[in-house]
Amino acid sequence: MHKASPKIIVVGAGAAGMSAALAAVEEGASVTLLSLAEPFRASSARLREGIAAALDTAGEGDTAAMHAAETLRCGDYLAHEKRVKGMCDAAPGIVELLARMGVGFDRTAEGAIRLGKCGGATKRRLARAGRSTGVQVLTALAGQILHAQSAERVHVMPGWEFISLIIDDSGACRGVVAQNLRNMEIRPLAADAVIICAGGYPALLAKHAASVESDGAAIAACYAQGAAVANPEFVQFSPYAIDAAGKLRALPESSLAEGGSVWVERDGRPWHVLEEFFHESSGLVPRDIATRALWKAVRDAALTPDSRANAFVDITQLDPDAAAQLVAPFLDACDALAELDALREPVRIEPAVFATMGGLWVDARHASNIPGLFAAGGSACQYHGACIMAGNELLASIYGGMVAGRYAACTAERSGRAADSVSSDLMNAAKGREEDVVAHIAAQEGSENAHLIGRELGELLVESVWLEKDNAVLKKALEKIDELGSRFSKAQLPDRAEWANAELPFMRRMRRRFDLARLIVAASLGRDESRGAHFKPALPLRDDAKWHCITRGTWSASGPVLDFSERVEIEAELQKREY
Amino acid sequence: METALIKVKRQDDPEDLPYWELFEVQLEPGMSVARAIEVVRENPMTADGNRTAPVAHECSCMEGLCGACAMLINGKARLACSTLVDEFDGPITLEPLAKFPLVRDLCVDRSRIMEALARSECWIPLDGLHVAGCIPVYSQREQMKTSVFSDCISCGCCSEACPQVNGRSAFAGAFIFSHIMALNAHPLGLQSRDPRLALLGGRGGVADCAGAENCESVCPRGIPLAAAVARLQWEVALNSIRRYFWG
Ligand SMILES: Cc1cc2nc3c(=O)[nH]c(=O)nc-3n(C[C@H](O)[C@H](O)[C@H](O)COP(=O)(O)OP(=O)(O)OC[C@H]3O[C@@H](n4cnc5c(N)ncnc54)[C@H](O)[C@@H]3O)c2cc1C
Ligand code: SF4
Ligand code: SF4
Ligand code: FES
Repeated sequence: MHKASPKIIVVGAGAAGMSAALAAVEEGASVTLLSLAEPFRASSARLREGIAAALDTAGEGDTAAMHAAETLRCGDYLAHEKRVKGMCDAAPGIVELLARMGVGFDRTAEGAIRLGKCGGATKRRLARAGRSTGVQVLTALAGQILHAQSAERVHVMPGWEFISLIIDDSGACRGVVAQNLRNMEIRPLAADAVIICAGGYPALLAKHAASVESDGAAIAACYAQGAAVANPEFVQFSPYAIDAAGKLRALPESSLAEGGSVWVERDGRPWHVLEEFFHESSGLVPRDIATRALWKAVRDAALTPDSRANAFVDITQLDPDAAAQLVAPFLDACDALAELDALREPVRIEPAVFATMGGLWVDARHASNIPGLFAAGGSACQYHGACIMAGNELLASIYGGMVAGRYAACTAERSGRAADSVSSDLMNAAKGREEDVVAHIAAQEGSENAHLIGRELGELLVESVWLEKDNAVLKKALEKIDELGSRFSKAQLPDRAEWANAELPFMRRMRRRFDLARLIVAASLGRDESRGAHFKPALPLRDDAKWHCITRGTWSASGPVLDFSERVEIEAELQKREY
Repeated sequence: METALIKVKRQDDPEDLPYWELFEVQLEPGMSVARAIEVVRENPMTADGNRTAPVAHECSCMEGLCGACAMLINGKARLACSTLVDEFDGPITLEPLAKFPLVRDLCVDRSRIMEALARSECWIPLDGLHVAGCIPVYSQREQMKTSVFSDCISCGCCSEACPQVNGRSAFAGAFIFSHIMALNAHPLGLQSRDPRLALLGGRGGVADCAGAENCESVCPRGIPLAAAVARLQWEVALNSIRRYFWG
């Protein structure tokens, strides 16, 4: 008998979601791909740094084992070793796959893939495609998705927002409820398994260099329905952001290794802080270390106690002709809009929130604690530990997406939770709940402005979990989040239209932001040590005896419940993180 | 404090009639048009003090890489996130792209971009996702030549500017040339080139392009679209001759 193919719903059409969909299709599944907009619009488009893989085309003796060891060390040993090794072993094959799909990676004289350097890595490992790797990767993956769609294996649904999970009495995930962002229809969709690939939550914080929709609403929705979130307190900063048209924009650090330098202005002269402090790695250190060192120097070099000195990235020494290719992504990021001629003048930089290491808790197969629910990419916490190494995010998104897609499809049949066995009662109840939420939002009354509260929440988070954390400040922040939450309940829906109403989804996302914000702050408070991007000046050291564990947060009505019992599995020796 | 006047063409839904509203926005240093629309969205009040619905618009990356925010800015198709308010002296008029079906205010439905890519088979057929053990090799010179065509962000500005994109033809816009150029130049894409060229010669393809070159002047990624058009017209012709003689 011909067996029915498992039905998988993938939420998100970025690098992770499209990889998950393609892998699930290869295992015989039929996939529905939901996303806010067309695949090209995902935040993966913005990556310029490239993808990391130990291809060793520079003949430096690089290996996947070294890639894994350096990834673990950069992440301050907060990721399970076997999983990181699995990813690094697969990395060269993934770059090959992307090249086969049409991504035009930069080449060496011989025609092999040319590799760049990044902080925390001792070997050249970043494969990059012209000035905009992300655009090319999304285009290539979208092409494969269109191909699968022409064979009726994938059904792409752009313009549908995932709003909640359908959970049955046994606690298993049986599908999702989604809303059409044009006609505002709310529709329950049944599935054998669901994979969340909706990106991370950097845009929850102010001063971010991310896409505006990366606010973690999808993660928060799963969290509110019982999914555990891992390592929420780890927020990544980039030291190299520029302010362009009122929005921070991160500059690719690999360009610095091509002959650029970073300095702080002191007594009118350049002070090469990173090279001075970290001369063994020529200043190329993980982002969290670079950010803290630079911003301490900016304070130290200031002329008066309450002023700040300026920090710069300088590529003016480069030969302009060579630079066009060598630092193409860098020049692209400083385009005409930023009104910067980076080849002539040093570029003033400031730190920005860049990414988040935390996300839905998943096991080695990317399954969450809710049966039938998987997660990958920025939405999952798996490979980065306490700090991300450049180029590993895209790698993790594609690798993790493929692992999730494969297992979701393979295990669907055995699970006994086929999409067509989901009862219509369950579907209708899930839909009814979301209609109630809409009615509740529409009924909110008062003079508060949800957009302004969103901004205040972002600023509050920046103040409390910025480069340095302080327990007293964090405790206060928890109270303030509650205050903002109750102010939000007095914000009115500013648009009553029943067609293409963007304010309603915004208000719904706002409601969820408070849960996630509380979790970030509570976990920052809970972890009493310093590790990677999580830094408490009062406790400046890593404490492996007590804190070599994954933070696991679950939702409860009275606030996040934290669990620190999952020890990190690493056989390698835990080295001091010195560069 | 300095302000800017922004005139927005609004329309509540595809069936309704359009109307204009004027907004006055407090200038911020280095403010982009997208940021100005956000400010209006946060406090939707017209210049003469009337409350109104927030302006519907799309944006995501805010750095010119996702193509979401394309619209007509003073009549020209541009990215709102990458256009500065202080570039203009007088009031700034914002209209939705007119060559795509309207959704609401500044939002349009650009699904025909994906449809066009699907119609022209803009992908490289793979054996599978496994490791095949062969990375296609090509020189950096070839890479540089093709990478200029790999940069399309599917914003639709080129469609807007093209006289051949209209209700009477199936042609969707010059972006298709950019995608096909990039794929055809790839060692593996080369193998699937002929069907792509054949499709391009058919309905809604290169034959519809009259070569006015408006597309290139509006492309925010600076893609040399005119060169792509010329090159592909030539290849489509060659391809049909090849097919005529060799089947
Ligand atoms: C400025 C910048 C530069 C970067 N550079 C690099 C780099 O050089 N190298 C690197 O490896 N990494 C880089 N990263 C990180 C990298 O971009 C991300 O880790 C990666 O793109 C995440 O991919 P994703 O598929 O998980 O999510 P995304 O690409 O964010 O995709 C999310 C998808 O989910 C959809 N979605 C979201 N919410 C919902 C919902 N509720 N319902 C339905 N759909 C939803 C969106 O529409 C989108 O399709 C960079 C990040 C930034 C911000
Ligand atoms: S060259 Fe002219 S006719 Fe051809 S796609 Fe460009 S604008 Fe349209
Ligand atoms: S070719 Fe240029 S104008 Fe056309 S969609 Fe692509 S990026 Fe936009
Ligand atoms: S918001 Fe992405 S291109 Fe303008």
